Amino acid sequence: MAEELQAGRVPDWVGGTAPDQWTALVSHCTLARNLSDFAFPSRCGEEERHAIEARALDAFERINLFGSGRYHASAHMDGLAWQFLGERRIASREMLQGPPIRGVYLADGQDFGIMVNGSDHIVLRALAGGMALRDAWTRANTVDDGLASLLGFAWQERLGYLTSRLGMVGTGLRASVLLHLPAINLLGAVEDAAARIRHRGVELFGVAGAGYGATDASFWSGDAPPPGLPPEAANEAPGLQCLLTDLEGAVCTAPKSAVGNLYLLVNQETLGVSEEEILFRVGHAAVEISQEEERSCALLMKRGALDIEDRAARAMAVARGARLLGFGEALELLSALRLGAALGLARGLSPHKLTEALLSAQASHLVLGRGAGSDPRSLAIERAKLFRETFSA
Amino acid sequence: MLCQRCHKNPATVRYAEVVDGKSVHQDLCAECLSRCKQDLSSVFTLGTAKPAVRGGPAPQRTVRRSRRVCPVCGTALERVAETAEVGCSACYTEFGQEIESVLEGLHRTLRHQGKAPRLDNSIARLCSDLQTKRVLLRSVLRAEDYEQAARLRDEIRGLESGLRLTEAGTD
Ligand SMILES: [Zn+2]
Ligand SMILES: [Zn+2]
Repeated sequence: MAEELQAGRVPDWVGGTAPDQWTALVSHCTLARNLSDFAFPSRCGEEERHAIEARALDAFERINLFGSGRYHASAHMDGLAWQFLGERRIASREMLQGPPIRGVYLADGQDFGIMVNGSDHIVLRALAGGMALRDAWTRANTVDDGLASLLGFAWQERLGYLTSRLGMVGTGLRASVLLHLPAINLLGAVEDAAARIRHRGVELFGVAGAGYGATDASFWSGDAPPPGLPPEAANEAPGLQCLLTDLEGAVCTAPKSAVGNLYLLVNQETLGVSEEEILFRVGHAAVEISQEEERSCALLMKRGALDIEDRAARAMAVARGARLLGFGEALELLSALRLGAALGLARGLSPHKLTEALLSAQASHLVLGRGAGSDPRSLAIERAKLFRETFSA
Repeated sequence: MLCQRCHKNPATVRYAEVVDGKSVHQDLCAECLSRCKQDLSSVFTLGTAKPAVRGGPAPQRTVRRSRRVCPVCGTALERVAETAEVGCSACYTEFGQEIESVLEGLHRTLRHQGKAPRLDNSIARLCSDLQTKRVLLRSVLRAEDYEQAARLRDEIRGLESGLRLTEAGTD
């Protein structure tokens, strides 16, 4: 399983050269499409789901997707494998537990995937490191054109692409950027920032963590919450310990409940706005918020550079010394290190290294990529080891 | 906008109920809505969460508890209103008005802007034939006419293989 999923491989998007990677971790473009001659997946029986999958795979073959990737069918995947594809930001949350006869095409670079028989018949997802919506869009759009020439997509002149969610109809496009905004958050200004862009049809959400919303804890045997997790996370399924995604690009929550100072900027409107306009609006808002983060950093530095340096130095000490590390605490450490490094107060850290550590600290990455046991204690031990290796002097 | 009850999920539906003769409403997510509706009132309002900054109250339609169901996929209108999700493309035609009132709350305009799929013509014809036959198949299955269903299944298989040949020809 670990080999088929290339669990040890760092996704291509992590190494990207796009600007502003301290603040913008990754950009996502997600396109929902349906075949016109089937009901949407939630209303399909097995026979129809098989037919949809067969038609999709046939089209993938014809546009040569299998030259650079493979299809993972649910019949050959366990909960751990699904969670891994979720942690890699390719499979959205509802894919993890849907009815049988579903699957995900995963490109070798792990920066592109297609979900089959999830919320919609076909959902394309392209990822690009940093602030790079255009790059992600170009790849999703090209594959979409290829598939559209072979598959009859449900489309109307007036309502555009018909999707199972009314919130996606029209372009079927969600464009989003995952942002790290510690300074704006420290100044208590996230809600204000969100309010300023809302009228443009773009929303700033908090990223929900530590297993929020996903429920498949059955393959995790441990019942004690892992050390280091905040109390509210302890009520969640103990094993998940990851950041899952949704069609939006992350599992969203209120800004005040964000974990690790992570936020998702995403378009809310999909009907009556063209793809170009959506990309422009989200991209523009991302630049604006990133500039505000920069100003907030400058303000914090003026008020107390020593305090920020102290936070980063303490985080580094814990990262180098901990023997047990929970996912919630790991997120906090990575945030303090990222802020410190961005401000030149912590040496030897690149945004790529920190983003890679964020991916690798998730539960199924530890299990599949590093052979950890799947009980909370083994995960905490392996995560601490990963951090000692990554951040050793 | 986030759900006003759990403050976690994005709100998709505006839920209204009459309390002491006054109508109160909340923007809710699907989960909280179904929790709310466990103590049913006889009338509920269908509308959607609309960010207040865009001005004006969200458009609302009062719908008598309706038993309407999409003839193609069997999804109930009530369920569409609760979840802001539909079961098939025919739902969009079947519940046209009701769906548009939800869409008004979620999107800028009701006029698609952006790309259109470019499908090869002969494939398009086959796809629409398949669409018709699949709709028929569902309705004969519902009527438990298995003889008809078997015949339709064969025809669908024939069309599917025709589709594969046509696709192969376009390479
Ligand atoms: Zn809710
Ligand atoms: Zn329907």
